[in-house]
Amino acid sequence: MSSSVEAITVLSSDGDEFKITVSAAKLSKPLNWMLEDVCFSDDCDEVPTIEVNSKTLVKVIEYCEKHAPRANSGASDSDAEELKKWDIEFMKMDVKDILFHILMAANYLHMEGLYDLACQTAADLMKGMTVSQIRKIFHIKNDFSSEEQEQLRRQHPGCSFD
Amino acid sequence: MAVRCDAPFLPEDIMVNILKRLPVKSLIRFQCVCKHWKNLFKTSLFVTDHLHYSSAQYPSLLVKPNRNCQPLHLSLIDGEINALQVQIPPLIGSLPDVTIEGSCNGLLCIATDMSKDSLFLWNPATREVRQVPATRPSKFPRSYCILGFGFSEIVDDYKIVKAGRDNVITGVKMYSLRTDSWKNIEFGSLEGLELLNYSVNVNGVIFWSAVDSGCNLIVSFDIATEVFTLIRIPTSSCLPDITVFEDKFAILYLFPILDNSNDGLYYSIDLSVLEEDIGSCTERWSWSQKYDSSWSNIYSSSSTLTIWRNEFVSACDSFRKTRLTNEGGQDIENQEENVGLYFLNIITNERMMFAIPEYSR
Repeated sequence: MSSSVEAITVLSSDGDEFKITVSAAKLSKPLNWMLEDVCFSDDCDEVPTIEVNSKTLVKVIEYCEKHAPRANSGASDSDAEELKKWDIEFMKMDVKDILFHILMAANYLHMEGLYDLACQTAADLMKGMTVSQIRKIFHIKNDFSSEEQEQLRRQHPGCSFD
Repeated sequence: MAVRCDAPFLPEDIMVNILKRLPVKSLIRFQCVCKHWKNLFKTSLFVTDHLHYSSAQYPSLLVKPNRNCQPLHLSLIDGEINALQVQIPPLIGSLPDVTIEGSCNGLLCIATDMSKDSLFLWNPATREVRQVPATRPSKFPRSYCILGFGFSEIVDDYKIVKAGRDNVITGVKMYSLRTDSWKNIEFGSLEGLELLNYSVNVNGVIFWSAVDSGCNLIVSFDIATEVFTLIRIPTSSCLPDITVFEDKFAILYLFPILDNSNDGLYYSIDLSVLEEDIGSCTERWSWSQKYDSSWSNIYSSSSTLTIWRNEFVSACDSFRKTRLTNEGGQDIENQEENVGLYFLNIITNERMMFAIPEYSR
């Protein structure tokens, strides 16, 4: 890889092209390996594909670009505080629409910071959900028989299956 | 279907990583989601995962403000120093002589009578209470009991140690939660010792202070191997407080010093942790000093002292106005009857005081 390259182009699973700076790509181990393996010079026409859909990849790249300066150089406490606020704003997203895709992408791209953040966001959102809302987002069927439901209700008065 | 951006099926490991971050209250609610979740929440792997995560992320301190009186009242102090009132189950709340004999991984070992025959394990988070079967014969003759409670990851078991004492140790029994039964324990090494009625546990070992013909020492009980060990302490002429610091057993010496210039009572604090010297063939244990300050001006009317996170915590029964104004920062003038906690940070030496709300005698 040529050291003069500052940004690379990747393809999403939907076939769209995205630019990501080298320093931001370093936040992900697989992307970092790609940087080392693949020729990214201008005359090289091979564009690596990342198995993440476009909508999700936009968010992942946004996160990487924001976090890259701090990850690469370290930051002061005020920067960390600012970044924390940014993370909270960044994570204001719909669970079923995008958050789970972000989770899968962060897991696949070995991005510990984003993975942790997304897991915590999902957990925080779940706290306010009903049991049937939980089943819906996790694609789970209620497999308790009516006898079993009755038994659980006796053990935990007030527990709800809806 | 292909156009709509539906939530993907999450793999099991991602799902567990989310679920372990939920508070117990939510987990209890979500066991109604499906059988798989209900069973998952009870597996020891998930329980351990959840425990490690929540204790690291949400350290909490259980405080019993009314030390000697009934009914039982407990406050839980969270990481942001907010106090939550712990709900006492009717079964325990209705009993007259409840004492907390030990706490481990959020489980409390409770005795409900003076002879400590009637024991319960109580999980305040799940509100589950389990009665420990009585020992047979029900009492050690002419003696009262010293208890210890702890957990060992090696044997994945909670155990209660019960030592009968009549000046000297008269018998030791041990309860295992796994087998739900008691058995006798060899206690020859404790012969002639006086064991003190307070224990702490860390890393699968229960510790007590003890006295052997005027000398103070530490007695440990390994929950996995079920063996007692005597450990010498640096200043055997003084009785230390026992506690846990940075996941190690620790002893604390607190000496009052009268400061005439400031008209207040100050303390000298000495903190040492117990290190295990695995390579050494002579002395297996050594002490390393972590904190030594001769003029720590924590104010306390009682010597109750422990360590939580990086802070010494001492409790006192009521605040005195004059001292509060000296501290500044907090206006708690009208809360004279409240129980107070004093925090002294071991690293920064910063001090803080906190009045436990919602409680007054």
